[in-house]
Amino acid sequence: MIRTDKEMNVAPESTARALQPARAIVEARDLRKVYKRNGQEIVVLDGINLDIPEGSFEALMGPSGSGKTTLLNIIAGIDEPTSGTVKVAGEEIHRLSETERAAWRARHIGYVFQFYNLMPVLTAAENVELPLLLTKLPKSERRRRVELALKLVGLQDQMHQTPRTLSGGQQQRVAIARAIVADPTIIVADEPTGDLDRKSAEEVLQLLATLNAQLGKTVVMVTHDPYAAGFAKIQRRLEKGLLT
Amino acid sequence: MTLSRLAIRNAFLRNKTRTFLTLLGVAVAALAFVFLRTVLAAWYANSESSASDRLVVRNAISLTEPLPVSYRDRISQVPGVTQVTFSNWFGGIYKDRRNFFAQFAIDAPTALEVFDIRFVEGSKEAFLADRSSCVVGKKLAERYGFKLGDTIPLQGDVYPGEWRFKVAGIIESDDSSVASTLYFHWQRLNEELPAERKNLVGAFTVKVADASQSPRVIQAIDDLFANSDAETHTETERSFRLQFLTGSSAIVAAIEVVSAVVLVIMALILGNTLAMGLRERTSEMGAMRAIGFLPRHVRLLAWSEGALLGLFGGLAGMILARPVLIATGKALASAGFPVTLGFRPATAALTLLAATTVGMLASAFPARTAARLEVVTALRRQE
Repeated sequence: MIRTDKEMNVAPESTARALQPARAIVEARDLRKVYKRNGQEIVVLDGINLDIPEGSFEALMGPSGSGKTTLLNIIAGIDEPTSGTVKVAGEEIHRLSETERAAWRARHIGYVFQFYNLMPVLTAAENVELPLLLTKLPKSERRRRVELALKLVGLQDQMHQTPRTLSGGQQQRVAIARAIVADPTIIVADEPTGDLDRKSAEEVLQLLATLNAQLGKTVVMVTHDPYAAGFAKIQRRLEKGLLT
Repeated sequence: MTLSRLAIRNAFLRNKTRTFLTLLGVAVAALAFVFLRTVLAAWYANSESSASDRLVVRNAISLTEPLPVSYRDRISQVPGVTQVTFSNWFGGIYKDRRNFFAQFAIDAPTALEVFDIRFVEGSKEAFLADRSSCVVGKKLAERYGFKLGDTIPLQGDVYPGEWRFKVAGIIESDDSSVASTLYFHWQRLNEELPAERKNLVGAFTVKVADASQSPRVIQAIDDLFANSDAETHTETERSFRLQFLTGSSAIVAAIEVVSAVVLVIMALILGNTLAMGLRERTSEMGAMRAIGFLPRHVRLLAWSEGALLGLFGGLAGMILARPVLIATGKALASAGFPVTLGFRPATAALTLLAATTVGMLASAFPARTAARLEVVTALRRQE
C-alpha cells in the first residue's frame, strides 16, 4: 500500500529528519482552555505542558470530556487556547490571525475526522484534490499528487467513485489521502476509527502507522480505544484537562 | 476540480428532488414575473414608441372638445414647426362591439409623412387617389384577415351611420400603435357631417425641427390661441399618450407591486433551500475550513449556488414563458384586447438578471451564517 519517499517526491526530507535527533514539533506551555456555559466556567484544559517530537506517532487518550479533542484542535490551529502558548512546526500559532492560521493549516496540517467529512458530490480523487485548490500547483501536478496519495492508501482503482459507493473504511482512507496530499508537517486524527468496524479500523490504523514509519510523518491521534492507541509509539492520557 | 465546479455540483447534485422542486418554484415565479413585466411593457409600449420630435395640440378644456381645422395654418407658422397634420377619433364598431380597434380620420397626405408610414402592400398613391379608401395596420390586417380591395364596414358611434371603406394599403411604422389601427380620409368624414360638426378636428400632430426646442414651440402654440374660444393645450406626444395610462394607474401600480412580491417569493424559496442545504453540511464546511479554506471561500460557494439556482430556475421559467405569452397574446388579441403581448428578449433578460441577483441575495444570509461559524462548532454539529 505504501510506496517510497522517492515515489512520493515530497518526503525525502522527512526521512532525513527522522534520522536526526528528534526536535519537538509541538511545544505547548501552560495551555488552558476555559468555556463559559450558562454563566459557568468549564475548564477543559488546565495547564497542559506538552512536547511532541518530530516523526512521532502519539495517541491522546482519555474519557469523554477530558479535553483530548480540544487539545488536538488547538495543535491543529482550529481552536485557540484561553491562555498559554503553543508552538507547532516552528510557529506560535496562537498569535496568528484567523486568515494566517488558515494558510498555516493548509501548509502544515492534515486533518482526519471521525466521520470522514468527504463531499458526497465529488469523486474520491476530487475530494483528495480539495486541499490542493489552495495551492498554486498546476493541474497536471495536482493530478499526479492525487493519484499518488490514492495509491498510497490503496484506492487508486476507486478514484472515480463517489463516497456513497465506498465502504466506511475506504472513505476514511480517502480522507487520509486528502490529509496527506499536500504533504503536511503533521497529521492529526480525531477518533479516526470511531465509526469503523474492527477490520476497517485496523486497516486505517495500519495506514497511519505506515505513514509515520515510512514517510516520517508526525501523527497525533485522539482515541478512547486502547486497541487503536496500541498502534501509536507514545500514549498520553488526559483526565479532567490534565495530562496524567 | 475547481471551486466553481464544486458549487455547480452542490447546487444540482446534492439533493436532486429538492433541487428540482426549487427550480420549479423559481421557474413558476420567473414565469409570473416575466408575464407581469410583459403586460407592463405592452401597456407602456404605445407611449414609448412616440417620437420625440412630435407634439400634440388639443383643446385645453378636454380631448373630447374639438379644435377648428383652421388652426393648422397658424400652427404651421410657429418657428420650429416643420409639418402639421390632424386627426379625429372615429370609434366605429366592426361587426361586433368586441371587435375593438382604433380608427382615425386623418389628413392623409400630411399624416403619412408625419407618422413615417410605410406601405407593406398597396400604395400611397392608390390611398391618396380614393377618398373612400382606408389603410390598415399590418397586425390588424392579420387579425381580421383584411386584404387589399376588401371593404370594411364600420358602424359609426361618435359619427353615427354606416360607413364603408375600401382597403387601399397595409401599413407599418416605427410607431407600434400604427400596426393595430385603421386610417381613412378626414375629408370623407368631414363632407358627410352636418354643418355644426364640420371643419373640426380632434387633435393636431406637429412635427418640430429640433426636439430640444419643443418647450419653446409648445409655449408659442398655446400663446397663439390664448384667450380664444378654443384655447389649446400642447404637449409632447409621449406625454399625450401617457395620459391614457393614468386612468389605469392603479392597475399598473398593482402589477408593479405584484411583480416585486414575486421576486420576494422567489428569494424566500431560494433562501429556504440554501439555508437548509448549508445547514445540512455544516460539518463539511467545518472540514473545509479545517483544511485551510477561508470564510470567503464558504461565502463564495453559497453565493454561487444561489446565483446558479436563480439563473437556471429563471431559464426554466423563460422556456415556459415563451409559449404561455404567445398563447395568451393570441387569446387576448382574438378577444379584442388592445394590448399586444409577446415574448420580449429584453424582458426575458431582465427576468434572468433579476432571478440571478435574487438568488445571490437570498444566499447572503445563510452564506454569512455559514462563513461566520467557528470551525470547531461546525465540526461538532455532526457529533
